[in-house]
Amino acid sequence: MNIDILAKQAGSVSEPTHDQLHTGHRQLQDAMGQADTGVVALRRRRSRRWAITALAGAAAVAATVLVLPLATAPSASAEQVLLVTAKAAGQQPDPATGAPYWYVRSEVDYPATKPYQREIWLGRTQESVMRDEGSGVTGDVVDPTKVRTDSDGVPARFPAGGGAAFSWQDLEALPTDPDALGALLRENVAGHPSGEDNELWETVTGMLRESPASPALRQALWEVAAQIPDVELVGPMTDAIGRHGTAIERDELDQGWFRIVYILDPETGTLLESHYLDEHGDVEWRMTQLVQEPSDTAPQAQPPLCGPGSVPEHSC
Amino acid sequence: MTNESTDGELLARSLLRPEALGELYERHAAAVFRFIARRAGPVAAEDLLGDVFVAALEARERYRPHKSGSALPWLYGISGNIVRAHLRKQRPSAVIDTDVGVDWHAVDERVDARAQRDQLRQALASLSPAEREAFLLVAWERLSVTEAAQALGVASTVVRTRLFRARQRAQTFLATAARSLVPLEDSP
Repeated sequence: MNIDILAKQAGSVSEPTHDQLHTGHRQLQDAMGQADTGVVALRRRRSRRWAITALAGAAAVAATVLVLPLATAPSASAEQVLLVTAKAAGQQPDPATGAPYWYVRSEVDYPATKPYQREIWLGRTQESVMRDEGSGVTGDVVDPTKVRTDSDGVPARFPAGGGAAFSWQDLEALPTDPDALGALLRENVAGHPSGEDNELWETVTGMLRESPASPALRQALWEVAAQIPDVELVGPMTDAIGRHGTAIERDELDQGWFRIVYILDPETGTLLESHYLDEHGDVEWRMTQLVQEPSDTAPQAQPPLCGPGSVPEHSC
Repeated sequence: MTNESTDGELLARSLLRPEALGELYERHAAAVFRFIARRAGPVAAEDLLGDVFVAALEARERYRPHKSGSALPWLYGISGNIVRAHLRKQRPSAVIDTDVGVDWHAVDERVDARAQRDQLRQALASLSPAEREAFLLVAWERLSVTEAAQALGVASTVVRTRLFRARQRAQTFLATAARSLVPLEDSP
């Protein structure tokens, strides 16, 4: 289960009724009346010049901060790299067809820790299973050699933008025309507070990083990525395990997020590595994709520690 | 007051004309109600909604506009303080998070499956209060990172780091910590 999807469900509340808003309105009206009396008394004591200065100053602040950065046109060079990568992705064989699991092994690194391995067996109809040594880096006591369920008994779900999720079957049914795919994903990210382009970019690269998307879908995903603005070409770059690729970056620092650098292999159409950099250029997080392949089996998952299915059954 | 005024202009005018806050109420009361209802339930939301706007009225001189043009992040910051103060008056309980201001009874009523309730509560419990608060502002109120920073009164870089770590830790928790400690080699 994805934390964003879980939280979205828990955050769903009803719209307030007129009556529910009425009490607060009355309370505010009483307070505004008292405040108005105070302001009248204050006006008598202070000069008109003070009031005009205060208003003009506040309005100036409001006007200044309304100036938003203009979106820039996409870099042709980065777009070309993405389109070449897309074409190569579309020419790969489709090993995921009919596979019960999609296996992904990656290496994750935080600045204050040593790199650790993450493995996930994404289930088509069975629950997914994950082995993540990362629990050690946050100081938890869980033994990282354990394998545990990832999706609470349901098959794999893939973030589809704006808190929505695709099943494996949904992925297989997605359009592989980039315009149709882009339009569908843009519906999911419409009105996203971090910016629709940013959320679309995260969604597309997320599916390329860890999903059983077919070669045709991967090609379309890269082509959708090529249509997203503000992507720059960095140039040749070698990833953490020595593979040569081409780096592109998308700077989302002005949205309070990261500058994200991706190393692609334009010859195979694969995403090799992702770096999340802060404003000083320091790496906050890195994920290097080591293996993506179908799997007939997954390790045995353990029962939950608590709640339904736990042994012994007890509440958390 | 015209509907074309920005929130910042309304609040600037309210320095001399407090009734301008009435327009701000019309715009944002429903969102503030939902903020409180998510954390403390609809009954508390009805009780506390007026307190938030009265506090905003008293604090309007300290308002600094955000580039989004919306005063909602600022109102959410005030709402968080009001909800925390409200929950601290309740009888201490394991299901009341007074650090962040969440009564989990109210949350549980909205989540159907028991297993999912436990998962969410424990995943969020694995975060620090600061990470949890930042995550909920973004997940529930759909604030951007910079808006959440304004609500919390910290730099956006601080929120970004809290949010990023919150997601990583919660996701790792969902995948691992709520599961048993049976070693792989003991599996059938």
